[in-house]
Amino acid sequence: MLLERFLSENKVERLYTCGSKRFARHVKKLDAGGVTEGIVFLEGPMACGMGHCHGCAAEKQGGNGYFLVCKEGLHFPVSEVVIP
Amino acid sequence: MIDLSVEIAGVTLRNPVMPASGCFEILPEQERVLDPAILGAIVNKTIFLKARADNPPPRIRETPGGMLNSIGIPGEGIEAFIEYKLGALSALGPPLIASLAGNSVEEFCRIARIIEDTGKAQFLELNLSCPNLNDGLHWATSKETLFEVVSAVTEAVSLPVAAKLSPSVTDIVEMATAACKAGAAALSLVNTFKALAIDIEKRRPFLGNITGGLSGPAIKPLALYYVYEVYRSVDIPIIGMGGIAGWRDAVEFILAGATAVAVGMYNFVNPLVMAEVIGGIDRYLAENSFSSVKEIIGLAHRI
Repeated sequence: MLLERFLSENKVERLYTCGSKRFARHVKKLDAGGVTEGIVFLEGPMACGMGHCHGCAAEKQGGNGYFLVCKEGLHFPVSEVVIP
Repeated sequence: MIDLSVEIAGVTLRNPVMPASGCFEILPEQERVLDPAILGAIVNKTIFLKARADNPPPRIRETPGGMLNSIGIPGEGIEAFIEYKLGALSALGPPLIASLAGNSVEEFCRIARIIEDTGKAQFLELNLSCPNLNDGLHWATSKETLFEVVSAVTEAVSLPVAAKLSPSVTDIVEMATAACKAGAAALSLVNTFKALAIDIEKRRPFLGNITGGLSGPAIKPLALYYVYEVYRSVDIPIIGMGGIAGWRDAVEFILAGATAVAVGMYNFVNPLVMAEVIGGIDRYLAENSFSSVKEIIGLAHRI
């Protein structure tokens, strides 16, 4: 695949991704496989964007509850969040 | 000079405006848009005995004139709440109405006593009506369970207790009467309406927890009607809420019989709305030659 070829031919320390969940899941696999570090920018339906409403919850990897995307994100190490 | 102060069970609020539970967290000073010291009271997000993560995303769906949420009541549990939050909430200045809930009557009483013992809350609000917990609604949908839990808590503590009721019932007056007989010092009317949104692309309910609670301007006339009805038959103060988006809405609730009002969802649309509501009530009273907000409580009931 194009991305794998690019990663093998270039020194890439970190991949940033946003938008496509499918692509974020792919980055998560690359991150887990040690190919490159992945950072994902998440979206979440936010009512307040300030930490009042708890609306923009993103599930933590490993079942330890949720991050608030607005206050604790928007970006997370892709290994630390569940990509729905 | 207009007197905006109101009194609920011996607790004086400098004005009748407060945040609805779940719509207000303490932010660091530099992140604050609104100075909480101007409020009539402070209300925390409902606290449980144990920490809770609560419901899976998506938790919010915007609907016409409203917001559907299935957040539930995530929180740190009473111990961490007392250690990290309670002091800061009570130091903000206004009286603290501590919102709490339990999974059993005993738990309600236990949390109420723990909070009372800290001496940092002036009032307790029992959340008997969260539509997003498995059994959250049941306290406020049967007059027997409602009576049981409210009377147990009012016997367990000496702080005044407000019962927050659900609109998802056949007869709100019956529930309000039960809470009143059980010793509630005030009623908070109303919590969100249990509701649903469906994702037509995925052909399944939109929210992670299937159903949610509807709030926002869409429910204001419904909530207002409940306050009006309850005011006619129950003799304890009402904290009116449900879709208040500006001072005109707040004045409507007070004319319908609310002694104080709470602003919920609209804080998310306009973080300054509570300040605007306080200013608007003040101007309305001045322009209509009233000297105190108390003069207009329930005034819409004159025939």
